[in-house]
Amino acid sequence: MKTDELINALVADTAVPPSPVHRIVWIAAALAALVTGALFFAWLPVRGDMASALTDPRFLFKWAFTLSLFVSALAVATLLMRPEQTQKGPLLLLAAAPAILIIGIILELIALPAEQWLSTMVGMNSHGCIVTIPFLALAPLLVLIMAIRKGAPTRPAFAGAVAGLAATGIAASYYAMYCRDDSPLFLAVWYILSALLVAAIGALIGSRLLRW
Amino acid sequence: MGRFVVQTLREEEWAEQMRAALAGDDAAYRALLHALSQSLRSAIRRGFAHAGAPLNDVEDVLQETLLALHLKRNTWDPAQPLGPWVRAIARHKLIDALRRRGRRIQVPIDAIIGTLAAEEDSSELDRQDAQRLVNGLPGRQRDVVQAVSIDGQSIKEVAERLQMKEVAVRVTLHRGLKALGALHREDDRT
Repeated sequence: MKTDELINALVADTAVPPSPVHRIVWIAAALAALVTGALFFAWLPVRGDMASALTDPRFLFKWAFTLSLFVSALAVATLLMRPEQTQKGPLLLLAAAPAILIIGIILELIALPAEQWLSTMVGMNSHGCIVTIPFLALAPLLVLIMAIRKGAPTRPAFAGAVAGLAATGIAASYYAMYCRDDSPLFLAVWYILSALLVAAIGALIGSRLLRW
Repeated sequence: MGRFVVQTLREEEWAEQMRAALAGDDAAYRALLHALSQSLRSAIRRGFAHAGAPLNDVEDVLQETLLALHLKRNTWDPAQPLGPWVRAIARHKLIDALRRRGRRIQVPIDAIIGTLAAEEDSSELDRQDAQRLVNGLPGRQRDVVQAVSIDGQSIKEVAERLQMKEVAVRVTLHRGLKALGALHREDDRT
């Protein structure tokens, strides 16, 4: 086949205009949130003190952390779908959730007496957290990776890892409604470990599925 | 007028053509792909020469790059210039192609791809390999891709000849082109 002949085929394949990457990502994010929600409500009970949790600053902080992880990772994933995007600056967005967490940790260390720090960090149900969040994150991770496949990421493993962070953000936002460990000290260990685990899985999948 | 100015003007023209193409102007899209293929051919040839890779694969890599530009055109932001986006995709495909051919990348790829609009090369070769890849497509996809590309038939003509609906021809063509891109990637690995 000559290159001119290939061009014939490319020009003929323009009936359906392709969706811009940001639209693909945000539709996938909405889908991922719905799927994860369905899994969560089918699988785990909402904590009994949910109504009072909604007025508890620690619980609200937990959501601020998980939702900022979700939104910032999603924004970076959208950037990584563009091949010409080589600037490092926008990657700083990924620091948003850790920065919020650090503020929470400082406030918590001031609020709590030192002898409670360790027990608060270990929490009541760390096993549940580090198993359930990654498990809940698998479905949204796959949805997001399929969306990123429609882009042109030049760093497939990194894009997969960022998808993992966004998926953790979704999963942890739901899981927060089950888990009664609300302290930033608990998040700093167990939610972060969960995020790193899912990011590693995302990198592994991404290095295979996000090549083009 | 310096080379840089010429390049900038060309790239503005390309961006204009791509915007028109995304709005449904097939003639603009064809003109753009022709212009890009000539510039990319010359850039890929330089890349292969620097890396010491055999030049008879240049046309294959060019076709793979054009396929990627087409299939990934949704990743271009129409508010941005087209040149950096084309270069990023060409760079990605060139590095990938050289790696698959066991060449270590020691050449400054950016310098090679950087002068995209400055040189043109229209010395096209008929590629038996590319034909082999088309033959590797599953039945209907092969028929449709072959008819539209090599035989130069319109979607309507293909639909009548193969007794398919036009919509079905379009879907089959799109899937065929995606499959062709995947075959390019797998082909050199084996």
